[in-house]
Amino acid sequence: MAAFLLGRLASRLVLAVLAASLAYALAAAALDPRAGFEGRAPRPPEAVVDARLTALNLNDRTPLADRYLVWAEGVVHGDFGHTSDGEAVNAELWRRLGVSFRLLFLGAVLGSVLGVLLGAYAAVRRGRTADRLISLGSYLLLAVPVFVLAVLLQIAASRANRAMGVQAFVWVGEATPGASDGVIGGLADRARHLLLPTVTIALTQLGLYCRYQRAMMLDVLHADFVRTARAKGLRRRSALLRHGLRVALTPVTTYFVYAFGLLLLGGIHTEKIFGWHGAGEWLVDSVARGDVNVVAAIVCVAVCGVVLAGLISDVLQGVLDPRVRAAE
Amino acid sequence: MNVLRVTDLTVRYAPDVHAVRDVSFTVGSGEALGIVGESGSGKTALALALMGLLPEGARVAGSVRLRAGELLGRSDAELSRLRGNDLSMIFQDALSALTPVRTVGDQIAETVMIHSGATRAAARARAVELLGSVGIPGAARRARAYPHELSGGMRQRVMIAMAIANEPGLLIADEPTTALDVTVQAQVLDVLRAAKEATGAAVVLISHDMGVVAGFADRVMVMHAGRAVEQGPVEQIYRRPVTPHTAALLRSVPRIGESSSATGAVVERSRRPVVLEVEGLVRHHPVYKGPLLRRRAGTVRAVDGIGFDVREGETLALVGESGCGKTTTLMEILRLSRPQQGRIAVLGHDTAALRATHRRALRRDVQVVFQDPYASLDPRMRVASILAEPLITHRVPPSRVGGRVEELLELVGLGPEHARRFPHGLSGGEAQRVGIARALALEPRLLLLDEPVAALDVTVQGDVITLLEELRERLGLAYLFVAHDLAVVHLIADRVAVMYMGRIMEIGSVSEVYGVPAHPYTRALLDAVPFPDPVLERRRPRVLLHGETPDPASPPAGCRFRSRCPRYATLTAVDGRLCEEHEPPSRPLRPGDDADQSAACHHPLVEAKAGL
Repeated sequence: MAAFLLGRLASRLVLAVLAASLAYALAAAALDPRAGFEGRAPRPPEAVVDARLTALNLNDRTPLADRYLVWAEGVVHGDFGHTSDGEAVNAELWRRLGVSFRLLFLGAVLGSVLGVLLGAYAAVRRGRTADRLISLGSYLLLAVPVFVLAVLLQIAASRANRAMGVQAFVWVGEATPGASDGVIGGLADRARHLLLPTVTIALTQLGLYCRYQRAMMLDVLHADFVRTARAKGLRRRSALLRHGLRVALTPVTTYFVYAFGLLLLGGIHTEKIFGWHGAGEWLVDSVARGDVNVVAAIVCVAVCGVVLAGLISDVLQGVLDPRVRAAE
Repeated sequence: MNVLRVTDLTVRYAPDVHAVRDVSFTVGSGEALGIVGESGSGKTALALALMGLLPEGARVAGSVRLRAGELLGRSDAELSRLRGNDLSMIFQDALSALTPVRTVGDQIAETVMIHSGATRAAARARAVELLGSVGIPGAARRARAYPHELSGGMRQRVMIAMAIANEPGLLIADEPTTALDVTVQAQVLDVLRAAKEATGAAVVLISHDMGVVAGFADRVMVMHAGRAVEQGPVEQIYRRPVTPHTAALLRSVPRIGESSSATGAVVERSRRPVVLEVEGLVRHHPVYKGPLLRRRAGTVRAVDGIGFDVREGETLALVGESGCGKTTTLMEILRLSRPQQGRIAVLGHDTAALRATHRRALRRDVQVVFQDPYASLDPRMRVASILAEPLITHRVPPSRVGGRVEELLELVGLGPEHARRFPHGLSGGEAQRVGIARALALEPRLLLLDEPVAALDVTVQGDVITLLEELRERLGLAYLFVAHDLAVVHLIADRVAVMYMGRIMEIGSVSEVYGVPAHPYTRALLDAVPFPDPVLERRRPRVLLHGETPDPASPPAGCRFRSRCPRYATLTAVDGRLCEEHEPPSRPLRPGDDADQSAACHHPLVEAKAGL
């Protein structure tokens, strides 16, 4: 198992380095930080702009290869350089990642677990009312873009607030500014702010996992080994839980990697709509500003995230399915 | 005392689709009832109805009484207490019937724990004990193995261990040996017999193989289209069948020992042209291991230096257990390119020296028919398009294609109405006829047949074999026929080559090899074929092979059959030295004689003449 993981890790690291380098090259070649400086009023002299850009390693007159080397050296030492405003990328990056993590984590876990369970249940009740309702719901969720879903939820919440006459639902930002009711009150306030975005993310994830798990579960529903388990004396439900579900879960772990990528993208919309200043929002703003270093840093982190998700899925697969271990 | 009494059992899937109709029978304690019939006759539906495991939507009527209790109409919860405890079932394909992600010991222990409430440790210990009792060596270690790590025979033993774990009163075995080689089949049947005697259970054995049932059952029930058409003691059914269905079933079973219908061509063998010549053919597969830098860890010697020739108008059969290299040999010939080692010549052309255009032209002369007709025909193409494709590929003028397609259909005994059908609209026999017609489209001279009848029912098997023989005579074809069923080979082949771990152990005419086998392996293979006659099957002396084929990446030194050879086991140390140190070359048994039987054995069963 250790050798198997080591092998996978090595090949994925190569992939990560390649992806990050390409991302930097693309960002550095396509974005134009000079325009931001030149657009200032009063327009600074060209020599000043050049000096400033060179100091930030953003000068498009320096060859791309040289800029890449400077950037790569910094990254190897754990330094993602500076924003076009001259701030260190690192500090802001970690703060923003923290915000994004708090926003996305709960929804992602809730969405995937609920999706898997609902999908498995729908498969077991195939063709009956429960299956039809779940299928209808998951198709609906898949068809609705995340920003529509988020806005619909906000509208519903504000109606509910008005109907009840109290501000039960709040959704702008991470916490109410200035309100300090001690630790517990602070946490409750944060939880209240988290509710709507979490529901949004969980619902989008749920639709995908539900469809996928239902299909996987249908495959094992009539599998010979489930029949064997029942012939041993297990009741249908326990046969499916103990023998079927584990086999049907294995392919979903692979799917996890791709879903992770989608989650990061979906995060951008959720952050914008709910006013959380996370990494996704920063990425969009930085692309607009032509801030090469920030874009490269976020893509770098995203690449690492996908690689990590892949590694987790490898571990899960190895744990769940002995045939995968044997294949190495 | 009757353990099981079934009265007027009927199973319906849709309102008017009857899988089983009014079937009644009883099985007594310690008795074995064999249920035979073609596929689709309702055997499996009957077994699942007894277990209460029919798919949802199936309607069951009648009565199934286990000892005193009625089983039909009980809830899943009540039946669960009986299943695996008082009645249990052995399924056909053990690879798919065992959960792939849990160890076999764990799965057996689960059966024990569900019913006895034993602790996990006690159940594990019992699982190891059970694995030992079904003849699995190193049971404690094997209990920690996953199903995919065991061989087919071992997996079926695990299924048996699981079924007898709680000493059930009734054991239902649904085609328990169908997926296995004959040698392993004989071993597994012995285990099943021993398990029956140890537990005293009543056994219901379902099989399509009349030979297996002849050797195992006390009484037999014959099923046809969901009905039990005949039942009675095994001798009576086999010797004096009453209904035409039973007679037809018995007649269609190919038997070794009857005169072969393959008469061979009229012209003497040595004067007919050679169609295919193979010399010293080698196909090795490298095995790689290691996490980062993948090192070559060994070699699987799939085909390890074999030679034979096929002449016009004759059939050479390659037989052997699965994994012996039969199909690999076929595929190497079909590639028509340079083999790793050795030489292949088709119609006198060395395949290593062929150019692309010439190779393409030669492909017309070498065609192939595969085992599973449904898997080898494109499900989205109509029969007419399937037959036209090779013609179009080889630039036959479009105006002649339609006529040729009709001709081909007629040639294989199908009507023009079949041209518009899709493969799934054909029966197994019809689909295989389409496969044969497709292979004949370009008027080849050599046909490679990879288990062409293995997937068909016995009654259909006979028809397809007859068709193949007719075609060979009419069109002057040569066949290279790969099969594991020795009875089928006896029926169709003129010559036979017995393969073991990539080598030919014995080759010669069918009458010689079957009549006076020289190699101990040939003898054992022939002994393992069950004979469809209850009296003869139980009386005949036989040598059973022990164990299974060794790891093909590390065959034993010297003679590779040594580890399982019954003859080697009886040799003195001095005589045995030869087997341990030298790989036996293939030697003619009667040099100079017109016959051409050769065997690769240091101590053949028939002593070679002329001082060899």
